[in-house]
Amino acid sequence: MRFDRDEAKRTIERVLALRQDGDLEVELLARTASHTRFARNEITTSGRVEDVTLSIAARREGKTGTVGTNDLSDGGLKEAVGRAVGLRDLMPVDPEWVETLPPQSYPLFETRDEQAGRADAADRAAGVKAALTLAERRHLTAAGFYENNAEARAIGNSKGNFGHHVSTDVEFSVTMRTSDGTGSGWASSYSPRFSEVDPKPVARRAADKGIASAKPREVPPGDYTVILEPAAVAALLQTLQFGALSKRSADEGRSVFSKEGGGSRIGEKVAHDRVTLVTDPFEARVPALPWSGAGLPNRRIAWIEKGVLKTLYADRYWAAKTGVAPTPSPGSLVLAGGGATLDDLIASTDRGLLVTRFWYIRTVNPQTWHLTGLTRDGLFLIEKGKIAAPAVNLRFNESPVVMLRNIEAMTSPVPAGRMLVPAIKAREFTFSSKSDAV
Amino acid sequence: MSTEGSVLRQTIVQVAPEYTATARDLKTRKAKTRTYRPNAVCGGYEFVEKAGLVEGGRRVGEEVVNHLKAPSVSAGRKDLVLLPTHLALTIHESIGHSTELDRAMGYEANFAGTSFLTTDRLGTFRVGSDIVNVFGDRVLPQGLSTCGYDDDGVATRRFPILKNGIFVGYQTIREQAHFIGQEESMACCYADSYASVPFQRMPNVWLEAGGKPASIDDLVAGVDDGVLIDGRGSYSIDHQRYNFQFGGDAFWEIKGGKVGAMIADVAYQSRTPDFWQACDLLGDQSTWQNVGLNRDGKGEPGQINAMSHGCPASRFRGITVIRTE
Repeated sequence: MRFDRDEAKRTIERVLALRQDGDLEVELLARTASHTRFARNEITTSGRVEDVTLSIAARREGKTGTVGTNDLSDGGLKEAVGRAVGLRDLMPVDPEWVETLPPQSYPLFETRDEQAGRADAADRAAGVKAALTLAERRHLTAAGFYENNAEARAIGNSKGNFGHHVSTDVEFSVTMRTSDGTGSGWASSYSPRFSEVDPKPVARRAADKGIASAKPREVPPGDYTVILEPAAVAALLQTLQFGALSKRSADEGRSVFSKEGGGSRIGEKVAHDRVTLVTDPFEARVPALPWSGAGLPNRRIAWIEKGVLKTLYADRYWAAKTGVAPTPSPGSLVLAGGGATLDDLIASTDRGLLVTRFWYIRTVNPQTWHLTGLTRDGLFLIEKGKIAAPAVNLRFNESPVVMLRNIEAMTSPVPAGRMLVPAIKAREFTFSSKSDAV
Repeated sequence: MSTEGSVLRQTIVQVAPEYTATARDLKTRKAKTRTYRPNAVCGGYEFVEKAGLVEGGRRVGEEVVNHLKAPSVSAGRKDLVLLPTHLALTIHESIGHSTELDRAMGYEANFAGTSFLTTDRLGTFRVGSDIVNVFGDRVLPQGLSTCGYDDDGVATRRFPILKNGIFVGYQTIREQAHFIGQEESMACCYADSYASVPFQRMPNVWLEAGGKPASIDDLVAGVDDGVLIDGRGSYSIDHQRYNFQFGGDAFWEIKGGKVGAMIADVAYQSRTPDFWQACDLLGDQSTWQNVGLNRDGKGEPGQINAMSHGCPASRFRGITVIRTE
């Protein structure tokens, strides 16, 4: 793909050369995004988008103006810089402004797969056909999405900072619904490499789930031991990235990790001994960038280690204000697992619910990290160590903090939701109402 | 431009001013927010100037402090009086998305979901009470989805979705209108950029005001034990648009037909047809407000869309209220 390191650097330097006063910060994103979408057992859309965009921020004395453009001509860049400067000068002074980032040293990691960038509709067709053939053979209706993307990203600024990274990702997901509309199953697979995503077994898992989930039994809302499959765990933990791990939120009394009377709960036990949650950009099975959004170099960070809250992320402003080192924002999350298998988790459960995935999770109370959402595409009642029946979907009202405290066992972690997480067995997970949705 | 002869150029300008005030108490480890969100509209900077940002800021600044000190709601079945700034999102989630034909036909089954309003229910299924009339509308003045032609090149229009509570109309595009025997689509095709696939997106979907004079005070006067809700909070709904849980931005207790003090930690749960059939009184046109939403996601690859949901202040009987503290 275009925009290798040299070309990206040349492009950013063309922008930086247009500096009038103050500083410029430039971010380049060159992307090839290809997809095939299918529903009702046929392909519905297929596309390939190739584009490059530049985000240009003009900065001076507490003011910032930002403009995005995909016109990389000399005239286009000149106009974009002029508009950024014009916007900057209109802005009031930001009391939390920080100086332009000095040169950084970024880690190198390679997650690029040539085939993932190159694969076209014909390459994806075989996988889609396998899913649709299976659906028709088993009298199911399939809908799904198959995408392969390649990205080159680069950042640079007037202080001499520069970074470049190329990555690829591939994902296939499919939902299989029964013809009577009472059953629905879902499965997905993700990898940076095209050859590692095989739609056929993914479709088989979704089909098995769809058929097994048909004609569900009503179970009353209440507290259940749950076995959360990795997709369900990932959906809960993803919400951590939107504020719960922020030092500022904690210090200001706005988060679950705030301490009564002020300050954060860093150093306190917040989860089960077996819970270790880290950001690990060097883990090849999860997507990662060498830098976080604000340009800080990414590194391995333990957020929770053996159940103890170790770190919260602080941007450069809050870090300077509170006298700590700045921390990149949380991404590339990895939750260490245990030695059990999914079958072990089920076999050890006298009565509980097996959750395939959650849907429409929203924060209800950020100070308890209390969330709500619904089960979807395969909820099963477990009795006496076996799957006894499919269950009607339920709404949960629960905090992942409680779930992480109530862990009883875990499998080894696998890729899910673009992080690496295990399936988890946890007790006393609260469901508040029934959903008729299938 | 299309191979069928459309050559269209539309310039759409939208503004969405808003800001949020936060109050916190380190001793009690409590924090609350209150958002001032004047209407997002299809229009220019003149709407920002008319948005009352200074006055609104002062008000939400005072209210967020009251919110911080407010006691939690007591859970149970209560009557709700919902202001347009809140009800707009409830309309969006429960009626807007459930009446998309592409969802009902299974085109969104892998992501956004399907719909409880299947095609066999068109024309007969009761969603709301007799007073509930809802329209899809891409010609609504200042609506965020308002334009001259959709991305199929079809001239935009207004069409009924719920008539006297009965489900009578889907949102449709050219490619799919034939599924329900339509000879013309309802002009709901939209792509969020030159590089996105055009598909069925939600138009402005609005609730008609009540036909008889009714102010917010009139709605409140008939409530013994209830909650008045303003603004958007946490919201979640299942993938067929039955079961939902919505919070709000600010809450006041209603006792004995009068609005009392602020309360906190309120959310309500219901099922779309149960909720809309519990609607027993709509405010008149003086309470009607067009409320814009500008970050609605749908599709794979994901696309965003903006639309408006006008509605009057409205009353709902016996809804399950939960305490979220």
